[in-house]
Amino acid sequence: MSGLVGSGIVRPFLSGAINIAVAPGEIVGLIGPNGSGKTTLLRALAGLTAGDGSITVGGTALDVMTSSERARRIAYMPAGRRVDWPMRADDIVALSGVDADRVAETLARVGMSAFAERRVDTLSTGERARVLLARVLAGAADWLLLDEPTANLDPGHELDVLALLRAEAAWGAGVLASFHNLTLAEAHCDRCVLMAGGRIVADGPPGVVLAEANLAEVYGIARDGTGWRRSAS
Amino acid sequence: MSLRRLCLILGGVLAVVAAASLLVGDVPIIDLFKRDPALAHMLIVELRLPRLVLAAAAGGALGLCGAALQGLLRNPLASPDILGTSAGAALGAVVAAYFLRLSGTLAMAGGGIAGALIALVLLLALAGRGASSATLILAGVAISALGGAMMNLALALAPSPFAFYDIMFWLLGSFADRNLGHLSVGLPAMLAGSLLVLSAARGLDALALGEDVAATLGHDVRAMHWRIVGGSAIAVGGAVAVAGIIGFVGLIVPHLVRPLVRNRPGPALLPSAIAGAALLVAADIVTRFPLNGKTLPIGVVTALLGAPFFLWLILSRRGVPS
Repeated sequence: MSGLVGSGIVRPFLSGAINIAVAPGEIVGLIGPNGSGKTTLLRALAGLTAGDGSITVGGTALDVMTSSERARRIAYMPAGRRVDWPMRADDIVALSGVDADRVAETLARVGMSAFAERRVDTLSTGERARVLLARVLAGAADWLLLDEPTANLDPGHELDVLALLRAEAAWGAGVLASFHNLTLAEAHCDRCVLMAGGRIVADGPPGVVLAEANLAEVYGIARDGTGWRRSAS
Repeated sequence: MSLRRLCLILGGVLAVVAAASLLVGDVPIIDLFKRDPALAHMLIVELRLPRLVLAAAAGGALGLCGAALQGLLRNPLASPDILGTSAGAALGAVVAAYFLRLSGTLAMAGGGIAGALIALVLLLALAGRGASSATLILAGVAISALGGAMMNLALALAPSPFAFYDIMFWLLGSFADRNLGHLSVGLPAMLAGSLLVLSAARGLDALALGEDVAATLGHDVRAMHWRIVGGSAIAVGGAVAVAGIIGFVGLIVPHLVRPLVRNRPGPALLPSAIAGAALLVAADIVTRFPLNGKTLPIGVVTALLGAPFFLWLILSRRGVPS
């Protein structure tokens, strides 16, 4: 199997064993309410936590890879936007281990070229989010595990991020990203995985996963025109 | 400014203060060279050179460990004195020397390293990894207070008035009357500890984005933890054993250096070591000008420099959410 495959994953905050797979060139939206286990699953797939189950990329188990090979294959971005030192934007992107040309090129892709030499503590939350996304994209990893890559972004920049992820997917990367903006996930993901209570409750095409019955049961919401309303419980 | 250039400039400053350290003192060395070259030579090699090397090594170790602990704990207030590491080292050295009756500098160094290690491990156990500034400083204050109280107990139980005076004077910190014996014990500990700390430099920058990101970038975060904690314990334990408690060097120096390396914690390590060495050698020269007929303890000099800086640091952080 050529994808990123997690099978029988058991971790605290997940209930039962989880099976999930992402294929190359695919954007998979990981959705579910707060506390449903999205971050726990992403961290497990990134190899950050130990536990039962196996995670393989392209048929090779994560456990047998060296840490640098793992870093080359899998990039992970946490939901927090914290940067502990007031480092420069280009120095942040360079943490991915790439050369200066690649740093400049990636900052240009996220529209942050003008901010390359700015300290991150002087950037707005959204600008910092784009710099941190550039850090993830710069390494050109085969698999991107992104925890809420569109959090804190305005609608225009949300679309920009999805366009960047689509470009990565077009080059063969597999993307698993969690979203809270369901409209965005439905429109731009190839597949959605819906989590609730630490387990996967639906996995398939966005239109199917985001069906009325699932949304009512998991989120307690219903479609209301182009938006959402609380469903009668 | 490139890292290499910064290190060269700081190295130049260190060379100048080191030369001054060999020349300045009670005995006007240049006159002595004209009158009695053999005596002058002996004075430099057996008294001033060990003192210079110890001051430089201790300053380098404290500056380096301060920078490394700040980088590891992602906290600009971390340093061996604030976190209670120095207090632990001092207590360990005193217990080894005066209560376990293990005589000699080697025993004090061993006790110092053990005390520093216990204090650091206790701190990490209390505050946990990735603790907030407040938790970490609180844990450091608690450990310092405990170390201080135990030290007072040790002073109260001192075997003799001479021991009491010895401990008290050593605690204040000094490089006076240090000889090749101190050098042969202190220097290897400080060098070994510093090298262990430096070996963890590579992953420190990535740690600015959190332990998860550092780990997925291929850095062994756990190994970094133990290298910096263990290396700091060895280096600070060795420094405290030969020179007593010298505060504020580990806190101030990384703050002065970091803006010069674009606030990257990894590249701040080596310049912090060189700048710390220069600062402490300079402070040691200041102690040689007698005040009221008495020489100053070096810990007092660094504290007089450092406390106002610490106050400024608190003021500059006011209103910044942690």
